[in-house]
Formats: sequence, C-alpha cells, structure tokens
Amino acid sequence: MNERRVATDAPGPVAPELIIPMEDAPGSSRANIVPGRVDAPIEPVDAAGDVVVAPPARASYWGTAVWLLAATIAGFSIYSLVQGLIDIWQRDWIGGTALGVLSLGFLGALVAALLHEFRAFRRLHDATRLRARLETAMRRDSPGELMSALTPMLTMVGARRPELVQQFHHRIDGQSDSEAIVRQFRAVVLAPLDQEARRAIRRETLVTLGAAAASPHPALDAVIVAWRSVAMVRRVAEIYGLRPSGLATIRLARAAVISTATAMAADPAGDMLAEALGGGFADKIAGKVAEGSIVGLRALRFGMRAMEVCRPLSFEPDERKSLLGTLMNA
Amino acid sequence: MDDFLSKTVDDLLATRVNLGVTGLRRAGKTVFITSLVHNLLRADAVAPRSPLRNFDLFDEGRLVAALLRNDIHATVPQFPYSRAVDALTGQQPQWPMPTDGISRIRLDINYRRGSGIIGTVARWLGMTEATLQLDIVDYPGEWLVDLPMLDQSFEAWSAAMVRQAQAGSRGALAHDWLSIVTDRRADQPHDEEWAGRAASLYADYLQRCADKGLRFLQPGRLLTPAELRGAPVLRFCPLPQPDATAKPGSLHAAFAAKYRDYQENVIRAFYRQHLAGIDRQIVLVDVLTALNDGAEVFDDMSAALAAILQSFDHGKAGPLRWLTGHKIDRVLFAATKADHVVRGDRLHLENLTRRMLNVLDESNRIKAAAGVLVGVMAAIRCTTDVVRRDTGREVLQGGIRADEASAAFDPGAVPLDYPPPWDSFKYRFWDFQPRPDPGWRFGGFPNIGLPDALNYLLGDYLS
Repeated sequence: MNERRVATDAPGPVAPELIIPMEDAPGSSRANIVPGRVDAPIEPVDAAGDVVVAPPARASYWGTAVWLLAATIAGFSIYSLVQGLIDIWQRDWIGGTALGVLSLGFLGALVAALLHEFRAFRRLHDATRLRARLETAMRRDSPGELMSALTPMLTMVGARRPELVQQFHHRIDGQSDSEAIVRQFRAVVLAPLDQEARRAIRRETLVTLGAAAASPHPALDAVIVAWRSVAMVRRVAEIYGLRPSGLATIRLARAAVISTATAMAADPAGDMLAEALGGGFADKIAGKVAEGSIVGLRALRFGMRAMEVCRPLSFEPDERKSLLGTLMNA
Repeated sequence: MDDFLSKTVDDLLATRVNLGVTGLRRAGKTVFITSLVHNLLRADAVAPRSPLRNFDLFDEGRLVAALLRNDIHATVPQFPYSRAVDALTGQQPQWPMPTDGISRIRLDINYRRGSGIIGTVARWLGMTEATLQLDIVDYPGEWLVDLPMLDQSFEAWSAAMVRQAQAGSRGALAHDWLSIVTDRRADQPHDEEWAGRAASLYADYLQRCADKGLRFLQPGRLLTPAELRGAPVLRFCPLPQPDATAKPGSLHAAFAAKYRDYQENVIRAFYRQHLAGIDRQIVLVDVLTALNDGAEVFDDMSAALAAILQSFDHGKAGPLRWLTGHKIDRVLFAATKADHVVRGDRLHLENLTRRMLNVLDESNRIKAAAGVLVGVMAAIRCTTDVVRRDTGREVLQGGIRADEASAAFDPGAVPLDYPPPWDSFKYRFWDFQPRPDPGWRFGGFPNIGLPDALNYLLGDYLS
C-alpha cells in the first residue's frame, strides 16, 4: 500500500510514518545536535585577528582579450621598431646606435608608466570588490571573513595613517561580534578619515570660491572649477587610500561636467542679482560674490559626492553631515 | 568644612541616575552589579582586550575615573562589592552568595564632556569634566514578586494562591499545607500558634517550589525574611474559601489584617524606599535556566516577571520631569548567562527573549511608554567559544565544577520558536563556574553585552 503511494506520486493521503518535519530533515544542522560533553578535539572559533584570505573571484574574459590585443599591437610595434633599427644600423651604424639607445630609453619609460597605470587600475578594481566582500561578510556575521575583507583597506590606509590601523587592531583584539568590529572600524578608521576629507573639501571649496570671485572671465571660472574639482577628487580618494572605481569614475566625471556647466551658468545669475541690487559698486561686489558662492556650493556638494564614492562603507545616518556642517565643523 | 562644602556643590551639579536592576531570584543581579562596578573601577584605556571595549564613553577616551562613594546611604548596608569580587577572583572562584537583604551602592563616574551642543557650551564655560552619579540597589529577587500583591485584597490573593498551589507539580509540594488549612473550622478563632504552624508549612512549600526552580512565590519574605525573621507579621498564609464576612477575632479576620499590614509596612515601604525613584531599568531574564527546567518553570517565570513589571512607572522623560516625578524612560530586557550558549545562538536567544516580551508586556504598556531594547548579556563570561575539529560545530569550553579542569561541552541549540517546542528542542544548561584567572581582579571581568547595556542605559547622560 505504502510503496504504491510513494511510487506513483499520485495525489492523496500520505502515511504518517513517511513524514518528517521540515526542520528535522537531513541537511538541517539544528536537527542533529545532541547536548553533551564533547571529547572531540576542539579549536578556537574565528575571532578578529585570524585572517582567512579567500581567493579572488575570476574576472570576465573580456579583460584578457583586451590585454592580448594590446600586447599584440605592442609586439607588432616593437617588432617593426626593431626591424627599422636593424635596417638603419646596417646602413649607418653610428646613427643606428644612437637611435637604438633612444628607443630603449623610450621603451623603458613606457613600461614604467604602464606598470604604474596598471597598479592604479588594479587598486581601482579592488575598491568595488572590497565593498561587495564587506557586505557579504557582514550579512554572514563571520568575523574572520570580515577581517580578511578589511585587510586590503587597512593596508591602503596604513600606508598613510599607520596609527589608525594600529588603534583599530588594539580595539578589536579578541572580539568575535562582526557588528562590533564594523562599529569600531567606523569609529576608529573612518571617522578620522572623514574629518580629514571634510577639511580637504573645505579648503578646496574656499580656494575655488575665491578664485571664481576674482576671475575676470566666465570661461576662466570654468577652467578653475574643472581643475580644482579633479584635484579635490584625487585628494579625497587619496585620503581613503584608493581611487574611485570604473562606474564611480564615470559618475564623478559627470558630476564634474555638471559642476563646470553650472559655473558657466552662474554668470547670468550673478548679473541678475547685480541688476536687482542696482549698479555701481554693488554690481562689482555682489555679483562676483554671488557667482563665487554658487560655484563654491557646487564644489562643496561635489566634494561630498566624491567622499561617498570613495568611502569603503556607505554613510550611516548619524555620520552624514550637512553642507553647512561640513563647511563649519571641518 | 571646605571639603564638605565643595563636595556638596559637586553633588548638586552632578547628574544622578537611579539604575533599577530588576530580576527574579538567581537571575544574576548581584553578578551584574559586581561586574558593572568592577569593570568601571578598573577601566584601563590602553589595556588589550579591555572588558569595557565598545562602551562609547570608554572608546572615545572620555572616561576619567569611576569612584566608589562610601559617604552616601551611610545607614543602608553597602553592596558587598569587595566580598563578591573576592569570591569571584579567589583561589577557588565561585559565584557570590545569593543576596539576603537590601544593599545599595553609589558610583561616581567622572568623564570629559563630549562634542554635542551641551558639551561644547559647557566646555566654553570651562566645565570640561562632569560627574554622573550612578545609584544601584541590590535586593533579593523574591521580594520583587510581592509587588503585585499591592493591588490585591486578601480574598482575591488567597484564591489565586490556592489555585496556583493546586496546579501542576505544585500540588504534591503543597499537600501538607493545603490539608491543614482546608481542615480548619469555618469560624475558627484566631490562634497565634496555629497561625505560626500554617505559615511555616506554607514557607516549606514555597521553599520546595524555589528549589524546583519556580519563581512566582508570594509572599517573598517567607523565603528571605532578612530583618523580619520571626516577626509576627509573617505568621499568615493564604486561606482557601475565605469568608469576607468573618467576625473580628476570627482566624480569617486576623490573617486579612496581617496581610494588610504586610502590604503597607513591608511591600510598600520597600517599594517607596528603594524602587520608586528609578530612572533606567534593566530587567535580567534568566531564559536559559528556565528553558532547561521545562515548561512549568518557564511559564511561571514569565508570569512572575509580567506581574512585577506592571508595578513600575514607565514613561517618557519630558521637560517637565522635575514636576511629574521620576519615570523610567528606558528599559533593557537582557537575557542573562549568554555565555552558556554557543556564539551563533546568541542572536536566537535575543530573538526568543524579544518574543517573550509579548508575555512580559502583553498590553504593550511599557513599549508605548518607554524605550525598550532587548539584548543578551553575560556579566561575567566564564566560557570560551571553540569549534569541534571533526564536525566544525561550535561548542563551549569551561569548567562546570570548581575543582575540575575546563572541558568542552555542547549545550545544544536554543529553540527558535515561542513558546518553545517543549518535546523537540535540545538545549542543556551546563552550570559553568567562574574560571580562576588572575587577570580578573585588576583587569575587570570579561563579559558579553555589558558595554552595549551601558551605552543604552547611560549613553545619553554621558554625552
């Protein structure tokens, strides 16, 4: 009877002895726990401090293809260069030697520059991956994983501010609660970096504001704003120990363009304000200050966006500061 | 004189917080207070693995020093802090003795002001440091169970107690007492000797219940009389079929009079003197022992706590606080002995406690009136989290007898459902003893959740 029921899978009543509750089904770890004295060998649970580094995930093959293409082109270029040099050398060995030395120097410089770019690119890539890993570790509540996700970040910060990293390690020693570790990370590492970034943004804002107020032509405003914005993003990224990643760079670039465009548009706004106030001296002062303050405000907002992009963890509500707070409190 | 004057002025300027440590018998009140005081007194900012790590005031480096005040409450016994620390850190460490009377302790926490608005203004005025006076009272948990009696008449109370004594496993324990009180004549005149015998049988019954882990035991003074040992006011007990129209001079009238006397002079006096001015409350809930002891003990504990919590005055602190009097504006429900479950189960323990609030605060009165937080706590942590090498399952390492070396124990798993599925979950409470660790005396007690409790209970005062 029973066998028939199982075999046919037909709808109908199921014999009670065939049923296991879902929780007790094999595979659920809570089902086969037996309280008792443990004589099996034991080891400490992973606490903060033990770092388990997981292998990085395989990237897509497009990167490989692009790299291979670049390598092919570079190979061809080097090959034809060498071919050309040999031709010249066979005809005139003095000129050939001189050109050969120059080419070697050029190639050396090129390799060095490429290596540098490559390293920056890799760091950029890390930033996105780091965020994803941190989020996974926090969701899984695994301190070991969390620490291994934090380690690259700590290394980058430690290069510039070793005391923060040291303090962080002191504070999380022996803790096995990932929420507490993240809280300490925010308090010990991120808070001072935020403070520093805010100070940098404020300085850049004031410089932009002053320069825009003093510049004789709107086109120069735009140049100043673009130049200072890029400098500010680089400074903020440096403070957090990384450069913004692929998508983030596009976002930042767009923000920079908008920022520049507003700097141009601020000119008529200043004119209108000056007209409203009435010509003469007020025209000179109020108009320029109004333009300058709009440009400054833009720069400030732009800096804060850069901070959000560069920060390894997104802001908690009480960590975020208003524009005014950034300007006054930094 | 100068010293006295400056001290008085300091006391006037300082903020005072009455921390109400609420919990039934053996819930861990004494251990909690000991650990809190000891860790604050022994705070060391540069020590590795400091027990106060994650306490914001401590992490921000603003804790200057904590100070035990011996000149306050000079007429009330002081909380036996050093005796408890000696017991816990001696050659043969053991849990402190159960509390058998009232005691108080006052701790002055000196701290540097933070960077909030008030702190900044105060620093402009030159007041960089401030003091928080923390007042804690310790008492036997049995006495707390008396609080619901304040709203009951003798007749209603008797009926409830007799019903309780006949239910479940209490029936067998109450047999002697029940037979003597039901055998009495309806209009039996009052006889002090008979009353004494009935009361002592009733006390025996309560004691047997207490030994089984039951906690809803009234009147609590019969279990821990303290200074009332042998006092005539304790010679009473509930009476079955009480007769409200009893003549003066009858047994019933005498017991009812003693009950009223007990209400006014014992319970209300205790409440007024020690529990009325509480600002912040921590409710220690011993979920794990109750789980281990079974459904009856668990439900009994929940019922007792629920009844007790109705007697406290919860409410938001407003600007008119000085006018409307003290109200408890933050309550922390802490499941104690969290070091007796494996690391991964602490969240489950917290969730179980949170669901228990549906019983403890059935009408949502506390939740509506005050801030409520649920957490887990082990005021003194006496186990280490380890992993089995063969199965990878987390287990606990600790000693369950003082003379035995520490070993690994699997406590099983805390149930995820509420009410717990009594026939299917597997949890075992191992009675771990404190480890002999020379570092505890000068470095403080390792713990779970104490800094978070401090953040919640005192954080806003210390900003």
